[in-house]
Amino acid sequence: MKAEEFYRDVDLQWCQGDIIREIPHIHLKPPLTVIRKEHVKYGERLTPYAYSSSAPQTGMPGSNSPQDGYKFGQGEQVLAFCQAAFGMILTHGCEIDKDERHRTVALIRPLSGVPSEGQEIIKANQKLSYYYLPAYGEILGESYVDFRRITTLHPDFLKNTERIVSLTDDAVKVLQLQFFRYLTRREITPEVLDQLSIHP
Amino acid sequence: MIERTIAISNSSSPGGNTPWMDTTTSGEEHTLQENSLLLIEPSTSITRTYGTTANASVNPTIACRFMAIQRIDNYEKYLLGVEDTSGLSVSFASSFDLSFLEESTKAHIHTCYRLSGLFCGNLEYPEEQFRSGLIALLEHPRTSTQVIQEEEERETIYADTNQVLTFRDLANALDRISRPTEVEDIPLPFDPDDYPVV
Repeated sequence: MKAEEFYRDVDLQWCQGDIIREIPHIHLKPPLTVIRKEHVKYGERLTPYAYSSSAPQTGMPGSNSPQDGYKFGQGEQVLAFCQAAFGMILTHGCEIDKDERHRTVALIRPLSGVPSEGQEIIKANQKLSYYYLPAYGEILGESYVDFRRITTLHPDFLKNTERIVSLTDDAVKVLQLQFFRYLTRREITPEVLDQLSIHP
Repeated sequence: MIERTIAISNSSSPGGNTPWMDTTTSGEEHTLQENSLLLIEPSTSITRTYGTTANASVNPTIACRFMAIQRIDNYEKYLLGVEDTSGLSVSFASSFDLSFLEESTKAHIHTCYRLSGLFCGNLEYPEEQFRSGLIALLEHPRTSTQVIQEEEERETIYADTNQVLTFRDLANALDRISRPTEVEDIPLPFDPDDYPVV
């Protein structure tokens, strides 16, 4: 598919398919480490606590939990692996209009540098975890969206970012189709997808 | 491509010397064929029926009234006819030239309108509307108030998000619009996590 068929200029409103130059992408890896801000003699410090479901509870011998225990029900701050890179908005425009606290984004990886055999597989969208993106001038080289690396961000992370380009309606449809294939390992006919139109 | 004219003929004389038989500038006679009231454009193989009713399929068991315009491409001639497919097989056709659209065609259209009413009963639209629509069609031959493309027409389906769907409805819907992939997911010869993201 040619770049002009795949990409379009961004709208004033944020849309599904918008590509952002640099946003954070999180990948939580073990151990799950809780960070607590604690007041000490000389000020404040951040203390890590390695959480384990099998670890002794607070107050028990060998326990290394915070004094007031873990509060995952309300939420805890944790350490996470993070990469800042190109990203694509997956949140649907209708959802963006209604939700002021969450934006779902996917990591965009460069195709260059990976083995050529793998490049051909990704270009053909034969690997369901990814969605091929052709190059867009000198701004974006050949890349692919990684559905395995989806992050939920607060919209404030997007306020001062640069949206470089967006996907055309057809490119969004194929993105949706590929994502459906990734999630379900099922095939849906493009004609069926085109026939369905949900009004916000 | 052989141009088919409007299939308008008295059933008793399918090949007779009927007043609506037209000749091309080359002198070739068009063979009239019954029940083929279609507009044929030589550049395509798609036929369209221009009419004023929603159904132009020529099914002798379905009574319908419609008017059609036959443009004989390159000849700048038009045939106008009215067909009642209720089984009477009686209608008419009249040819006219686009270059005389305004004046001579006005009288011509009047005659056609009156004759169509004579053959097919009272038409459901006034003559002025008939004339306006006809002129609009002639001036813009590739547009029409209703273009019937039965085989190509697609109906856009809108999901009724106000309708409550049961768990079973949703599960069945997925089965109806998709099927498990038959091709195994192709593994990559590398792990993308081992490569930088910028």
